[in-house]
Amino acid sequence: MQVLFLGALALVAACDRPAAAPTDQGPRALTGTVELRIGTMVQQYDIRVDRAPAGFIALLHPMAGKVTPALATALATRLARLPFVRDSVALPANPVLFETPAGIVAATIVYRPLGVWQVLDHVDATLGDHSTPAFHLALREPRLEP
Amino acid sequence: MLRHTLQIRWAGPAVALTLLTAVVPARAAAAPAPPRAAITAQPTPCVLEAEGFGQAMYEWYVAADAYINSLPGGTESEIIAAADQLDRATDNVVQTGGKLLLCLVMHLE
Repeated sequence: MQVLFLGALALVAACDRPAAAPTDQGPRALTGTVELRIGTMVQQYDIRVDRAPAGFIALLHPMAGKVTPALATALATRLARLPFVRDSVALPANPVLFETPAGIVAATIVYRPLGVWQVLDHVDATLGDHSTPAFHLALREPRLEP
Repeated sequence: MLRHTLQIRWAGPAVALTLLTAVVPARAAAAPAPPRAAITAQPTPCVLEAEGFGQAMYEWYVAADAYINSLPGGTESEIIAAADQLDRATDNVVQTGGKLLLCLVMHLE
């Protein structure tokens, strides 16, 4: 009788545990393509951003581009530190202007919502009288992985 | 009598602790405030990052022009040197551009 009671107790305890529900935590990762343009130079990367306990971890792999493979890899390491994905974002009105010794720097940053995340759409930064963006970074075709 | 003695033993440290906790914040509050000039002299967020990016972008244009100009009649070593310079300038633009982006996202919210 005692064994039956203990068995029933264990069964109730097991059923009472919350079931594993990965969808409760939101998406697991984001994938897409990053386009980096500096002047006339263009380089593309595959990107994957995984959610981590302390934030997000990005990993970029060089694809087609005009730069050498060594430089493309070095740039991928630098780009991986950028906040491509955020839980929330509140930015100032674009563009943000800075008067610098080299000329006026105008920076534009655009995020857009994708699911529960805010995803970097593009960054443009121009210098002085150059009409085309000197520095352009865009995330193309972002997809969420559940 | 025994119970009364125990109450007195614990009352002393409790009173002393209360006095100490009451005094410490008063001393902290009496500390001199930082001078107002030190607060207002802080630079606007991201100005240094923007200056670094502007300089890097300017150097990139110079390096790109030098590379393009080296192609028609330059020697192999001149072309390689110009290409290396352009690679370094490109790396610097991405580095400083990344710092500017990070600063804008983190400090101008």
